[in-house]
Amino acid sequence: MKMEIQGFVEDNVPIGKDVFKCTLDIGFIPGDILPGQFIQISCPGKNLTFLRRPLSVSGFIPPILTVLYKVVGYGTQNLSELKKGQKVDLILPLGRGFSKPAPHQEVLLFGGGIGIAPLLYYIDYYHTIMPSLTFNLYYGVSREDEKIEITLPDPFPGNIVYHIDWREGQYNGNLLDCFQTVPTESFDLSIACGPISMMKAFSNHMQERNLPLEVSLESRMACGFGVCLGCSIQTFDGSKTVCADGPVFDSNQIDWTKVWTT
Amino acid sequence: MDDLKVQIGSMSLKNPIIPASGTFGFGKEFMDFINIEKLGAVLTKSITLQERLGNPQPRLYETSSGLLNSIGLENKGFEYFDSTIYPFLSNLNTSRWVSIAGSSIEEYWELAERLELKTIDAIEVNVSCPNVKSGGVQFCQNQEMLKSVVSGVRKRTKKTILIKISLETQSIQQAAKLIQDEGADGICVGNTIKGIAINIKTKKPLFANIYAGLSGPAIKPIALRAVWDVYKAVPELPIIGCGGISTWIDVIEFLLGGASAVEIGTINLIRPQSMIHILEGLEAYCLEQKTALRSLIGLAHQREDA
Repeated sequence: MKMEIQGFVEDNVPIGKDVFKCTLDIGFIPGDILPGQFIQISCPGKNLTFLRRPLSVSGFIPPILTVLYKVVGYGTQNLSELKKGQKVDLILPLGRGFSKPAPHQEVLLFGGGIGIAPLLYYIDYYHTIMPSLTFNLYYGVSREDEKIEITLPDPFPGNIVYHIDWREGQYNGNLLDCFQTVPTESFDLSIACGPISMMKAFSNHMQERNLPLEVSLESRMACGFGVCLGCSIQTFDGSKTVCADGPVFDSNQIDWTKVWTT
Repeated sequence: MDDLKVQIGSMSLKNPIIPASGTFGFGKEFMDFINIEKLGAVLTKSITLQERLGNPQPRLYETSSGLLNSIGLENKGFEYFDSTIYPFLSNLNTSRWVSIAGSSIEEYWELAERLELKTIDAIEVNVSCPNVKSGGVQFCQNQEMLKSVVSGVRKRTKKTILIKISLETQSIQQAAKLIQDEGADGICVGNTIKGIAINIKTKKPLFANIYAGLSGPAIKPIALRAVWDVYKAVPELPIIGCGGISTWIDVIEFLLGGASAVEIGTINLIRPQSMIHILEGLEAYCLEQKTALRSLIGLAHQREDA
């Protein structure tokens, strides 16, 4: 059930260039928050903002909820200046998350930049309740300084490939290039979150191999719960809202020629 | 609480708080947050005869105290409303209102005709839409077009009809008189105000249609001014104030300025429980002031006249 609640900042620290990790004490809420779901957070501070900001959940161990965000504008700049104990208004949990894997499955995860956020929660959440799962995490950033400190289960139940597109001025291909030659037959399902261009490329790649892929889209939003239609996208199954019908979609459903990006 | 009751024509509302069309979906979306039957009325998103896909992205732009939107009346059309929304709406235990929009005069007429057979209480006629056949002029901006929409809808339904005009309606007092003369039961003042945003990266207008609609607290004084002016012109015609109303204090201002009820819009998107908080504030106000809301309507004008 969606609810309007308050949270208190526990910690809010930089974990990379312009990227912050914020932990919030949200108390003990009824119900669960699923991987792929998001929150709408108020952004109190020196910049006058009116709307909340939608952020993926990247960790939740009651009562502590974790989000990662990149400072891109007025709202996230305010967030980056929040101090321990400060109050924020939240609406959560929002949207439809990733499909639940089945025991013993082999999951492929593609994360680009800050798009890694919901994947971290996915791994943590499903590894805890289904230790038989294997995760193959591909995480890419375009430049060395965009790499962020992430926390993963140790030992990691699977494989991790880190990729950096540009190193010392040299282009080394992108995340998909380093995945091109990997045989995909053993994977049961795959999920992706990152820049539109990355998800579009992965979507084509997986479609050619007949493998299901779920993507988590981002969008500007006003409400976050399917009312304003500010985040509508055209899919092959009609008009859908990123906030309520998504943010996770079957990639075959998305008409990538019509997805708008900033 | 009886002190919150208001009257719109022959229709009695348990309180003057109504969600503004387009900020409330079809009501279901708010049921996790509030008991929607506590509202004075439930008002749907505007429906059109056929499905509309709406405008391309981007559709939103935040301002420091408001929101620019260019949604383009996206909705799945009348048939979808009838099969999916109507069964839910018609069973609600509060006043049930449906907002209609058209791109031609005849579209409004036909929607009114179809809704006449339904168990609903009122039709809100959104005349801030562009008339496609007249080069995109808003129906409320042309007295002849406005007259034909209102009189044609009136002929086709005995239900309460409320005409929702733009805050930028030219000769707004004349338009209000026309709406009264054509037999409408009330007037909703108003809708979003045109604004634009420019993308500094591309150095081009942000929205495909260039213009978008500004809503939220930024426009509240403008909406209140329009309510004030309309009340002066048609003091007998119930007015529903709409534009940036976010708190119970805002509501009292609008009632004093001449509104009989109000629509709460953009704040619903940010604080989905705000209408319930407003009701609590109004109840406390009535108790403290030992007054009924209906006795406040237009009171600020008396002072000016005296």
